[in-house]
Amino acid sequence: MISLQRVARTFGPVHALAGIDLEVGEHEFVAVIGRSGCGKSTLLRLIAGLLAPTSGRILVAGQEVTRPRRDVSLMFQRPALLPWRSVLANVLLPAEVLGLGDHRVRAHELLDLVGLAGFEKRLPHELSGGMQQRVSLCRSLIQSPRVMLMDEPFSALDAITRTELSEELQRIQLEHPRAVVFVTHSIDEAVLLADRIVVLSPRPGRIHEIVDVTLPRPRALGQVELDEVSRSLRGLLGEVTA
Amino acid sequence: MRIALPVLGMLVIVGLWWLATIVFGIEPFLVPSPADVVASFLELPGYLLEQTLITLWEAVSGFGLSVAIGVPLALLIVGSQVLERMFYPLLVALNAVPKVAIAPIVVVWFGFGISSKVLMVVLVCIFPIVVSTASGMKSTPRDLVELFRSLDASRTHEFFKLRLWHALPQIFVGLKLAVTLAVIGAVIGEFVGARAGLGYVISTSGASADTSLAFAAMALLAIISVALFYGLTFAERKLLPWAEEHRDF
Repeated sequence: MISLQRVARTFGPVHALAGIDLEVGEHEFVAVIGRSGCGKSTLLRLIAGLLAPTSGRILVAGQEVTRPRRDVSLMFQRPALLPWRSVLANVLLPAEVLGLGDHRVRAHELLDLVGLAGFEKRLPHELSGGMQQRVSLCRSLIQSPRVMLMDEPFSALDAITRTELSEELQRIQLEHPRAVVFVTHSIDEAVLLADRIVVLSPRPGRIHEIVDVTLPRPRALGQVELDEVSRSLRGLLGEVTA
Repeated sequence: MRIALPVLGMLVIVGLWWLATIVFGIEPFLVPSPADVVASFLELPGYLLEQTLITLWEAVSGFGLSVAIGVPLALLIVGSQVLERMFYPLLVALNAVPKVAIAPIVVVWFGFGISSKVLMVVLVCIFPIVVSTASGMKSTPRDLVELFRSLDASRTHEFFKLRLWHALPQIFVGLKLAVTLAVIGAVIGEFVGARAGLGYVISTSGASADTSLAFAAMALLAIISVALFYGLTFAERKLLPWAEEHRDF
């Protein structure tokens, strides 16, 4: 679904990413981890079509990415909700901007799915951080994207909410698998969710190692089998900084 | 408490003023006592209210016109760097000119009627409105802009579904500043050349040493300003229930 071919990106004299080759399958969940400043966010923005690569090619569904696509959605670290819009209107925003017609039924279903039924008319500031991020998740699902790009979506949340949301995301991905690129600096989150984990090394960001996670699903945080993978990832991240 | 405290504050000030006029035996043509001011209002209530409505109408229509011109102007400035570079310095220069200096020319051009006053109001009001709108639109958070970009949103969508909405609380700050300036602008116009309005009342009463009448007119001006300012504050609360954090003043 996503194909990166020898992708590099520089910002002036700074080499953010270099020589990135990566294929992401149609139903594959790929996590990207690495130290801050290793170009994780740049990688997402390149796939999203918000940035152009300095060299190399990026394909989504076989077409070269030259601008943002309507079947690709992006989710941020902050909920990035519009404070003047109700929960429902926030979820409907992509449908509105993309001109997709009436998506109210689907919006209600999605809000139901993340346990926010009954909150449709509330304004974002009336919700907790975790609830806001759930709304943001619904918003990124409303256009039924084929590719979801997630930029540390749970990192601003407290530990408990974070766990809940990663488990919800796992459930959603199991019920309706799609291509996901999930940037995180949480090893546990990556091991819980991903089919493959890309470890980036910093300056310039390169792929240091790709780890396959073949454990059966659903997985649960704290499961002993996950610990082994986590340990080896920790080792890899140690190499990266050394 | 929200109403009691301001009222109490005003009573204290009026009381001190009254006390001072009695204790120091100040002549009414220098500083009239509150009773003198009320008396001179009660002599001519109909006339003064009529003048109040004239000044109010000048201020409000000039203010409305400033919003109608200022907000689209800010949209153009934010939308185009070329326009911004071309006209923003000019706008700053226009604002730097003392309005009192322009007033006589404006009266020469537009006469003694209402239009010269409305133009004066626009001249003082438009700058805070343009600046607050433009800076509000430019300060839209990066991730919200990126969200719209990732949806491949058109410029029109980005402006009218995002930037303008985001700017609203800041626009209201500009509007509240502008609306009090509007009353000042109307009075400047009336000072320079008019046959009606509270500014005209003040300048003629000054000439005939009727200080109490001038004070009554000033009190009415203050009431207009306060009413307009809190009217806007009230409108903001009703229209922007989501913008809690911006409501400092």
